[in-house]
Amino acid sequence: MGVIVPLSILLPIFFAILKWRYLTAEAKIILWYLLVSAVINFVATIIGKFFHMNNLPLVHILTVLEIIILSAFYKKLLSKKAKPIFYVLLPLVFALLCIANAIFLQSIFTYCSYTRSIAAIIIMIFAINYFVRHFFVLLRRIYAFYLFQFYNCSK
Amino acid sequence: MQKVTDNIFLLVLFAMIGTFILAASFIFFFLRYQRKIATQKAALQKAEIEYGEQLLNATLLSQEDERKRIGRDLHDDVGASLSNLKMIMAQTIETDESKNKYKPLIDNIITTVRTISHTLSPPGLELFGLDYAMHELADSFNISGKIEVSFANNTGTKADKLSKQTALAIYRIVQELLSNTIKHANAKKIAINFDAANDGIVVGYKDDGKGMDLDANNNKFGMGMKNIEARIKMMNASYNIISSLGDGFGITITVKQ
Repeated sequence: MGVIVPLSILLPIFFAILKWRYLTAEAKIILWYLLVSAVINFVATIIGKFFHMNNLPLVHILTVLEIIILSAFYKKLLSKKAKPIFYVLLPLVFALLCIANAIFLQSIFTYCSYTRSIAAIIIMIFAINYFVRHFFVLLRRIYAFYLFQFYNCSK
Repeated sequence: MQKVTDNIFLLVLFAMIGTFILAASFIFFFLRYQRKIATQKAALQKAEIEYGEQLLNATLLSQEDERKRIGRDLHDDVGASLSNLKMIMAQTIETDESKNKYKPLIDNIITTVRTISHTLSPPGLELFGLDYAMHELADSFNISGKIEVSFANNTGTKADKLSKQTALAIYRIVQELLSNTIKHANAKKIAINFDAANDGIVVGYKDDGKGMDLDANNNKFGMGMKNIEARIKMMNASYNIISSLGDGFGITITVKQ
């Protein structure tokens, strides 16, 4: 299991590269996210298993990269509706926070539980924001369709 | 094993913030969903009502067209044929006895056909306007002698300036009201008035029949009254019924020009 689970990330990466031409811009960003996660996981495993060294600095790096990539993903997904400043400023501020955390609170050789928690909250906000916006757009489309049908029938 | 030096309170705070965001967004989402559904339901309902009104208008318009066509056919074809028949019989039948036997019968049929065709499509309305058509309608009821219908137009030429559709709708409404009065009210007198209003006319109708209890009859009107309501809606007019048991039936309809 210790091998299968980390290796399973190669499956979506393989198919994404195979179908590269059909990938949307958002899917390409997610592919980058998968690639970054896979590489960091791979390097962390090698450092830990073969060199018996502390691999926790990689978690600090992954936390920052994760927020940068997912911000880009949600910015693209919401396209015109997203406020660009928010999606650019937020990862920037978060990166600075991570650096400050690594210097003053949790050294890069310890698990960055504070920034991981904040990252989780940020991702949650992204997801909820997208869901709410997308759901109401979908709802409006469904009702518009019904109204259209209704008027069409009445003619 | 790494020594746990994390501030547990800070982590709990993060967890609480996360949970709060989840709960708050759920409530926000639920409320917004409810509101959206309500507005969209209202829009759909409005569309349904509009569709119903359109359907009713279309029915009334096609009904009028059909009445007009049948009335014209009756008057032009059947009426003309009967007149021809009357002429031919006058020429071919020689004995006075036979003439006296058939002539009143044919005259009676011609009169009936003309009355039916005029009821179906009042020719005076298109030719001479609403004022004339209303007088004609009142006279047609007065002939019977059983009821006295008075009509007063206090709007000058305003009534004749109404659109064809509105004039026809008013005419049909009054026709329906008269028919209702005769059928149900046991009235002796009916007064119909047209009065001028700021931006239109007010049609007043009052009989001295047995009246009706509006509270008891709330929403229990028959087809005739529903037709009247539909025509009033079609004209974008408003109405007010004043009636009580033993005090006759009255209605005022305010029509915008």
